[in-house]
Amino acid sequence: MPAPSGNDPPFDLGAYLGATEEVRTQRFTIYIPDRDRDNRPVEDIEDWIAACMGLLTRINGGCTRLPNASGEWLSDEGVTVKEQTALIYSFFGDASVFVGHLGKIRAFIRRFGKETNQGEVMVELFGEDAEGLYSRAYKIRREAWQD
Amino acid sequence: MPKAITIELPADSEGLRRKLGELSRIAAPDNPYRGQSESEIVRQLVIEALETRQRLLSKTMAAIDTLTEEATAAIVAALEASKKPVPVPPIAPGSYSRETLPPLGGRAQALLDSIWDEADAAGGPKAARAKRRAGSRKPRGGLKLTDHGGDSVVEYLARR
Repeated sequence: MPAPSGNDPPFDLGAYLGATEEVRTQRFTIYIPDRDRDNRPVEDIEDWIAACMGLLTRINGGCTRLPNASGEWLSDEGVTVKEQTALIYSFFGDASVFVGHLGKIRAFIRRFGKETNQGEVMVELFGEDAEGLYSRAYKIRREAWQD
Repeated sequence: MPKAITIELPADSEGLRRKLGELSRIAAPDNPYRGQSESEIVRQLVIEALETRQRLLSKTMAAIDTLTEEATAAIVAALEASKKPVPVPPIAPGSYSRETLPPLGGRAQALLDSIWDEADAAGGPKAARAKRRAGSRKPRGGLKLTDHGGDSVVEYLARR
């Protein structure tokens, strides 16, 4: 069991449920939209989603894809782009393992962003470490994959 | 069924004739040899001996069959047990690879493998940091993941 951090819940849920293990986890989420920055559909979106899930499974041992979420955003031209976005997240307990594979995640984001003509790719990081809880969203804009 | 009678038959012919005569004369109502001739008694004794032998033989064969069935079942169970896969130790986190996971369908597998190999060739955050230092670019602040002592996630993912 991890040492108390001041962020522990006010009740012992693990003991009540009979849990044998309790670890601090961190959750990494990638947003995979089915439209490009010009509002055109990404034809091979399911391949990208499958590759993303395979990537997170290889790194963290598993991942979860949520049902597609409806989203919309304003393009640089002021056009409202409506899209269906797959949210794929993966928990990890050992940050050093995740960070050791961060290059693969960066390569995926760049390939996905470039090959599917994205304006930006969004990821989230949420979790708890020895210093407490944190929650961040990162927008990686297309400048990152433009050579 | 008449009660079983144990008969000690003499080995010599005179004694045998005398014994058969005695058997014939026993007046008990359940004496199966009462009033029978010597030859008839001998015939009955031979038949009974053969029947007894047959019963014993049948019991022995049944016992052998049971043992055979049990031995066969044990051998089959041992063979089945030997076919069971040897338990594979769990894979340590971060050690999953294309060799340990089932292939993805469609183009996804090729896509993932090429991204994976591309990242391996480029190196991870440490390589990126070394490259940046070589280019004398200063790192910016940002969220740090614990335990790796490297770049912040936002710096690393967004850097060209």
